[in-house]
Amino acid sequence: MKRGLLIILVLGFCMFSSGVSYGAEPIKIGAIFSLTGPGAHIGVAQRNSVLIAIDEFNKKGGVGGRPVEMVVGDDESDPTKAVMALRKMVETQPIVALIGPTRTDTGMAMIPTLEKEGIPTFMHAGGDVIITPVRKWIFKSPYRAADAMERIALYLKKHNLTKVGFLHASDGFGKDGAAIVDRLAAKHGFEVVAKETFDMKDVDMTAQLTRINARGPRAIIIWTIGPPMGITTKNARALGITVPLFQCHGGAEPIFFRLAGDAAEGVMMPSTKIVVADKLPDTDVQKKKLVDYIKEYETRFKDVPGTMVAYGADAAYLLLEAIKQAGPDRAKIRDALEGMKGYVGLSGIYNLSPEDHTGTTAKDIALVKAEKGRFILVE
Amino acid sequence: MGFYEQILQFVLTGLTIGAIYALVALGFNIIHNATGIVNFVQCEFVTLGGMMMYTYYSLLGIPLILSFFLSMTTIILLGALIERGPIRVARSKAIIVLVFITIGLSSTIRGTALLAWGPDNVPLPSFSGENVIRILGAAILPQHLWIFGITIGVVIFLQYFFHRTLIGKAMRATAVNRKAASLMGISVNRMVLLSFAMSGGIGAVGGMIIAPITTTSYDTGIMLALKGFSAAILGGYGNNAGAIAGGLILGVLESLGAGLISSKFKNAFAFLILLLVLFFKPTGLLGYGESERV
Repeated sequence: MKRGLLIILVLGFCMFSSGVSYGAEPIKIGAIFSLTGPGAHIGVAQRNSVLIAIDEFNKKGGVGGRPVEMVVGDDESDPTKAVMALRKMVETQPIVALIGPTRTDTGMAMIPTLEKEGIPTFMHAGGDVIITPVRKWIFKSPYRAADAMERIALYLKKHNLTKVGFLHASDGFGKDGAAIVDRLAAKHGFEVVAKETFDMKDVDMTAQLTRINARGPRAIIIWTIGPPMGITTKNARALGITVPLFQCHGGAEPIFFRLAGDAAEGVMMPSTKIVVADKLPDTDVQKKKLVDYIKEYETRFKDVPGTMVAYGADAAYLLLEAIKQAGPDRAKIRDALEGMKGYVGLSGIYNLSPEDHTGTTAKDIALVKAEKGRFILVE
Repeated sequence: MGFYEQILQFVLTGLTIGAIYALVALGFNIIHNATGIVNFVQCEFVTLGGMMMYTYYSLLGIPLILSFFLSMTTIILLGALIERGPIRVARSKAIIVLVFITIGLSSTIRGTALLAWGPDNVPLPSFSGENVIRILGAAILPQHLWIFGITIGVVIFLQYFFHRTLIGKAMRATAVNRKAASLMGISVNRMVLLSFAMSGGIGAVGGMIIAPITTTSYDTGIMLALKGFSAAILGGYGNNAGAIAGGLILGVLESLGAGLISSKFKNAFAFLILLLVLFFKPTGLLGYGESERV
């Protein structure tokens, strides 16, 4: 018993002393990612991407000598857990801003709390519902899903592929895509011949793909992240489906090749230029930044960065810049974010404004294709 | 693809996934029959089967077939260890206590797996290539044939084991009446140990044969085990023929439901059928009640 007490005391002391800082008081920003669950492959990469941005920022002197410190939470890819993680963070840590979360569902679940508390937040979520309508405190760094899908629609138009099958996850991101595809079909004159859904935890989508295939689509768009990207691609190829397959703007990740295996070959997706950085012309304004960042990421994490890393890093860079301009004040940080213009990021050129909380346009988006274990530019 | 080819495709796909449910259901049954408990660690047996095979094959570079058996052996030992450890040591043999022990173990193992392998899904190669095979217009992969073949193999083995071997018969006797069995000189403890080992092995096989199609991660077992459990209930909990029938029926219904009606109700459809069966035949399709559980 005595020994138990001693251990508790020692542990308590360690915890207490680790809280003591020797430099200037750090400014805390919250960060909630899907570090486990189906969004994990993205969440972990995004956490890494933010770490790089923060370290770089602190090395340059932080905010007038005060470093920025990230408080990390895991939402387990689950909306309920996301809100719990956020509440815990808000009540125990003096955070001035928040980065994340990773997924549309978790983001949507957190929005009421964030708006009520007035926390400037840069999300990594893909779905447009996050920023439609524009919410006072909420920004997101990934391309608008509508812009990303428009990139696909332009390809379809150019190659005269007028019948499209659409397969999407039944989560917030998937449903967001399902609404967008109808709007774009009307705009670009293609027909959605079949629309099917699956659960993020499902292990087989053959039935859905068979149904889609029976309607004779000339192309199939699959709107999901995580393991289903691989399963749907494998299932489609196993059914002998040879029409062009498209994945969403979160698909250009190294893990895609591991998940989909040989079936990955030829699959196309809208992406940031980070996966094709070495093939960009030297005149590209983003090239140097991308190449430097990739080098840093690869040395530090021994992993190849995918498209989600670019979104994650941009959210961090923009937020840190706003904190630098405005100081540790939530309302001023928010205003500074809305004033960001012409920021050259890894994903594109960001022009934020009171009407636009994403800031990128369809022009920033590259269409890439999986080929022999890497991504190449399609056009 | 014409209508009949589509139906065939749905049925074949459903049978494949149903075979996995059936294996998981068998795992649940074997332990239930020996101890009367629902073993929640069954999820982890499935998960770990895939993850151990990944470890042996991809990380340690051991040949595929050897990895398969090594992984199975590992999980068999784990199953035995769980019985020898927490389950046997527990002073209270009340069903509810034992069930809660398995819930605790399940969370512990899942957490450890997350720490050991990280959160990402990892791939396993197909056992024999990925060339599509056409059967009357429907397309399947060689791996699907492996799934059918291995499941049938496991079922034949179990049938032989429970009806032709002395140990198997002893296990059945234990299931029928523990006290009478122990009076006949059957070591009940040993039978329980064996049931955990066998469940572990069968769960692991399920996890390994599906992994090349779906990839595997630290929590893949949860959904499969949930469906497997439903399959066991559907067929009549504790009845092995019921488990197989339940698994296949659930798999095919899911696939047909998603294909013919709407993929929105894929999961709901299977559970609706389960509810209907339970309403009208609470013992499950092939259940006879408590006295004949094997």
